[in-house]
Amino acid sequence: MPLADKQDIFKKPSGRVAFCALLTALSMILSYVDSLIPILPSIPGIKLGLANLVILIALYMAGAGYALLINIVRVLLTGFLFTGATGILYSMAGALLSFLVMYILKRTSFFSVIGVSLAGGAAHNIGQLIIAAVLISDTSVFYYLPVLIISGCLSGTVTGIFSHVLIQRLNLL
Amino acid sequence: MNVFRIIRKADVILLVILISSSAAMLFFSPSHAAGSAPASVVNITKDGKTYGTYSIYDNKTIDTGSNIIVIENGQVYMKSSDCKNQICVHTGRISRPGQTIICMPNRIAVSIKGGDGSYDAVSR
Repeated sequence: MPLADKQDIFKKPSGRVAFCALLTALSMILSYVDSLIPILPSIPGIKLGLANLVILIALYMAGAGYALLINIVRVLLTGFLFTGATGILYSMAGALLSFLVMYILKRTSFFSVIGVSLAGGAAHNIGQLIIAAVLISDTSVFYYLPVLIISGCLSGTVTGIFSHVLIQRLNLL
Repeated sequence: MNVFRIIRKADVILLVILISSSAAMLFFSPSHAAGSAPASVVNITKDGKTYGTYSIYDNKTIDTGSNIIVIENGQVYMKSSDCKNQICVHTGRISRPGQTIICMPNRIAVSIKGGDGSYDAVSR
């Protein structure tokens, strides 16, 4: 559909509900797919971050409010379904910090979607590490910080490229 | 390829800064410097409090109730855990100072401290 019709989706409450539900479902299934792909099994916390693809698309196509809402609902639902209370704390910290960083970087308009995504990937891992340090009350987990920043950057770049392609294609529809 | 055409200068600068600062951290971190020093002490914390401190040279199996930690021939590994994700078990064997095995759900951290002589006794 052309751009004018795309905006129409957000005019009706039913359109907004359908949009959020669709993207939430998509991000949940991508969170699950993510957990099935071990990149480096020896180092915990290294993932592709496919769910971030959906958050980026929501951020760019619908706005920050939608992206934040979808992000929070995704974390709560996947948490209640699969990981439990500690898992929710853990992924919420990553999701919120990464969202905050991506939102700020997007607002500056210096960065393309790839830069926003790679910063989000790094911030996600930093957020998880901070909550891990708080829960365990042991700062030795920061030993993993450099490794996790590098892996977050690389996986963020990959999802950034994917989301650029997807945002372009979706705008053409 | 049009994907690479959208990359901005700021993207590249950000990537370079993040990667190089992490590489520097990795290189200059105390654990890297101490990596060649002999490991001596295995420290286990549970719920943020010290659960026990053990010598890495004494072969031993420690059962915290939720996790079984094995110290064997200068290496430490998490033999089993009742948590769901089993990340701690998959971490494998650690042997150098600064390395850590973490079980998030049970809030257990197993870390190796360097043999800097600050421990003159092993407490149980």
